[in-house]
Amino acid sequence: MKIKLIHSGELYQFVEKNKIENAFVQDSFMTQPGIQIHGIFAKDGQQKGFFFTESVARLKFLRATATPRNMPNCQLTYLSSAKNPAKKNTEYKSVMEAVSKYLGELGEIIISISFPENWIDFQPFIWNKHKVTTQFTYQLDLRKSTEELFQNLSAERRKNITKATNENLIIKETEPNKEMLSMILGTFERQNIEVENSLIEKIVFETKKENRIATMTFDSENNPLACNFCLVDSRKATYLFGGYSTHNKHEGAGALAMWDSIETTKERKVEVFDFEGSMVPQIEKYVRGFGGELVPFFRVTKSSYLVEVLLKIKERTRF
Amino acid sequence: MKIQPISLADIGRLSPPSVFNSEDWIKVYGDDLNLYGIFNANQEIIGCFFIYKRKRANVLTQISPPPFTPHCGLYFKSFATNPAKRHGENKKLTKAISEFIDSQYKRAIVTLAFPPSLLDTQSFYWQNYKVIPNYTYQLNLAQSLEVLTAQMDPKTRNLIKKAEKDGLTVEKNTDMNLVKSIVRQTMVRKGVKVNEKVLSTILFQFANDSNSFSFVVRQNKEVLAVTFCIYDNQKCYYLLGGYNKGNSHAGAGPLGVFESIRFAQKQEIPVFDFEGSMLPNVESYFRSFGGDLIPYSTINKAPFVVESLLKLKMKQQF
Repeated sequence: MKIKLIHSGELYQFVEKNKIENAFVQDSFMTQPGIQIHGIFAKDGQQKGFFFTESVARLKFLRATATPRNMPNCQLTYLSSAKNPAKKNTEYKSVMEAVSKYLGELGEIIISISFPENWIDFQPFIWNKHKVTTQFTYQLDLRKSTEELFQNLSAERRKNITKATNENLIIKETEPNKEMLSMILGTFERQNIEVENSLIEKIVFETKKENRIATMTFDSENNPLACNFCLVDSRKATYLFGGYSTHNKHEGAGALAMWDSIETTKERKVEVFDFEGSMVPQIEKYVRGFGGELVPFFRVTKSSYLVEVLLKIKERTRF
Repeated sequence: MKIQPISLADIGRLSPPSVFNSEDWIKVYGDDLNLYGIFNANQEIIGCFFIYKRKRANVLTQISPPPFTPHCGLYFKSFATNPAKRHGENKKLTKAISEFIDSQYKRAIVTLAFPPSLLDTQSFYWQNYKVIPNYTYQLNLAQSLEVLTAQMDPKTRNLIKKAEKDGLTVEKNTDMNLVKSIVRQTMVRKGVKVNEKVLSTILFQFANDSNSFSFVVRQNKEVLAVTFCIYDNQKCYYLLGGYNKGNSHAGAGPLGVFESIRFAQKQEIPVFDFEGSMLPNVESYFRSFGGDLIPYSTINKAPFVVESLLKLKMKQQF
């Protein structure tokens, strides 16, 4: 197995040829500055998969190979040819072994990458002295009926949505717009998360229409209250951004926008709604209220001994 | 929610289904095992777990699962049916455990494993524990023997066939001295430390027909390999195994394991668990039986300086 850097053109060709559905594989993400696209190749030179990383600065003077910005994970995708379960497990292990060695060869001082939830075998990373830590997201199974999904909400979230509906809040699936962008950027600002505004703008405005669900709630006087932006493909919808107006507030506006995104995803016959990571206590509590299942995914980290001890001071759970 | 020390009788009243929570198993460790109950706001016991304490480098205390036990035996009754409420309940419970460990074992090295059934470990993460997956392989015994055989790695399947062709026999074994001797030999060969006292207690005091079985593989009356499994109504665990290096046959081990799987299936036990597969050589052997890789969580923490020192040797854990 061989891994090497490839161009977005090669990636698009591979994805199209193999009919792979992945909403992150499009220009609004693939042209992010610093993104690196890695192709996975079999011994015979045939491409079998891909994943993405980004080279970022840490502590101002260190470079890290990390999960690309605005993506929940590195999107590792691999087309297995094995049918026998034992052989399939062996094949996946070889992929992880190759990825773990390859990341080390990239030469960045820190490695910190999250993987999609369908990848569970991280033993090659553990054996290669990486730290593998568990992260969580919530996912809704949209094969359940709307009634059942509504019943599964927490009492508080149900109350939010019912109140918003009773008070005639208007919910619309809209084209992305400046108000929406401003609400999304406001959320990052309030949470003290540094983002590059132009990247968020690009994702909001340039993501293909078939790959997004953009929803806004308005009060009865048509003042915008809250918004939701999800990325969607045939496999699942992923909540990406959200926000609310600081001028016009309603406690149920955000929950109603999220609930509408869930319903729209279901109407599109997509089976999974992913809340995209829920590791911050307040966010986790909010998202938990939507009644999804807790789904683990894994993050690998590695650095030199001294850098790890240094980073441990701030990020004990990771280093 | 509150955590308090409890007695063996309290655990019995909870009736946890796992063999690792059974009275006979817990007795193996005597006073070395600290038993804890999880109590709700009404002071009713709703769950339990145990902690094994040992000394490290004479001055440090480590808490972990006991030897030959894969996890801390966490068991709890869940009452909520609404998923959002159930998650909230689980979070309260794990928060109580993490705060309890933090307060009671503040200066200890914590390396505790939980059963695969505990998915939600966020409370530990929020309490600055490193939550790291470990793995085991599990076979679903509801599948027919033909399917189970077809799912094996062809090499292992052929080794079993070759063993049968070469006249190796496999039969139930009741001689625990034989198990001890072969298992000990194998562990010493692999450089794994053996807790002789616990091993003997498991084999000579715990083991009986209702909780365990063993198979021996022979060729011309020479012992080649042994297996020893323990079980409950839900799972059969491949706890111990070994082979006689002097009289080896590459198919002896796989034949013994396959017979153990077959026996567990006949007992209508739904799952065969290889009980941890973190050593590369052992993992590849277990993987070849075609089971599903099942992650389970471990939580790891120590005082900062101790963690930094442990990192020198166990970078993947601290």
